Amino acid sequence: MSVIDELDKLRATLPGCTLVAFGDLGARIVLCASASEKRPQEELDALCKAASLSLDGPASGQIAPALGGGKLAQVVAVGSGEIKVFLRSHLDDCDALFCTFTDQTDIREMVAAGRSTLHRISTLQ
Amino acid sequence: MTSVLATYPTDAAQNCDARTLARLQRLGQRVRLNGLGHRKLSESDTRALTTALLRDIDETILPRHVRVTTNAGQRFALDIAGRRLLRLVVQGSGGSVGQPDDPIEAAKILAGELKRALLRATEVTLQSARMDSTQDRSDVGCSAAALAAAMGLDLEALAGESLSDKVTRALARHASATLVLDGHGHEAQALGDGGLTDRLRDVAEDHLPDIIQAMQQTLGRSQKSGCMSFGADGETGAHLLCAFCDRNRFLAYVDARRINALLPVIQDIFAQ
Repeated sequence: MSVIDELDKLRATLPGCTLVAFGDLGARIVLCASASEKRPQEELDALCKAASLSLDGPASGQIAPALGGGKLAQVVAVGSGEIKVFLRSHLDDCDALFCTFTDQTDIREMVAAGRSTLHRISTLQ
Repeated sequence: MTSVLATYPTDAAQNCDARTLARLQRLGQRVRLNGLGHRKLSESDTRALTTALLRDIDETILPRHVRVTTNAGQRFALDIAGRRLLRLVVQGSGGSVGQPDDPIEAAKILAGELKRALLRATEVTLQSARMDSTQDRSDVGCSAAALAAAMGLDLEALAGESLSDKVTRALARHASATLVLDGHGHEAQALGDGGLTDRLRDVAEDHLPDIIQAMQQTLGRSQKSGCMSFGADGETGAHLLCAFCDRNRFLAYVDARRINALLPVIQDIFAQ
């Protein structure tokens, strides 16, 4: 199964999931995305920047050891109308999955399914 | 409309605890008397209405047969006694929900039926009638508390409480340590483990601007409230939870084993 197939499958599995993207945190670029409607590149770039700032930003280096790990691996952001989840691969520090969804989706299901998808994608490469 | 507070002696109202007062205010605001035996429950959304109806069941001791009409056009009947929902019959369905032996299964089935019956409703009219009280019904149906648990609702939540109150209550229940900061960044409240609250003070002092920048970039600058949790690993260690609302900021340590219990509550509070 290709990366885009994995992303499409994940998005189709979860009701309310509007975007799933796979990106490189080091290069700060989205490599592949599956969305319910076409998204402008600027939006994907902003999402990638937000994920990079959250997972690898100035505070993360100090926060992560205090939380019992080497690097931050999971960020969940909940705001009015939209939820975002950023997951870092355990296999490759730079591989990450970015997901946006509405409040119809259970965050726990999103995190668990996203983690499995990311693991498969990182294994593919 | 009859205000419960208006008929409640002022001195007694002032002396009762905050929780009782809030409950009286809620009753005064939310329950409209509409002729003998008719009442209306009105809320802003279906979830809040369901919680209000479950509270009503939780406060009903004597056996009652209640006919319910929703503003979404559904009609159904509830048999209630001893703070339990005994039976739910949807008009036109031709039958009532069965009673499995397993109480958890019974709660799930009744919860599903109630959810369907209240679909898209924000207001219900309740018409109550007495029922025969000689039977022991303690093993029939399920309690309001079990129903609430099956539906992921919190019966203890007070209507009218602020977003900050909800966040504080959720963190007090699920977080190992919580630090509440006021609008000026000064500490307003510390809850939980002393050592961990000290660490949260360090995080607030050294990293709060960076965390706020990450939150603004992720959630957008226009958001008036929001929450982010940072986890080193999904299954081990801890999560740092940061939230803002009502001019307050919250920092909390949440054990990884508790994060899955907290996330749906956070979703419920902030994603509306």
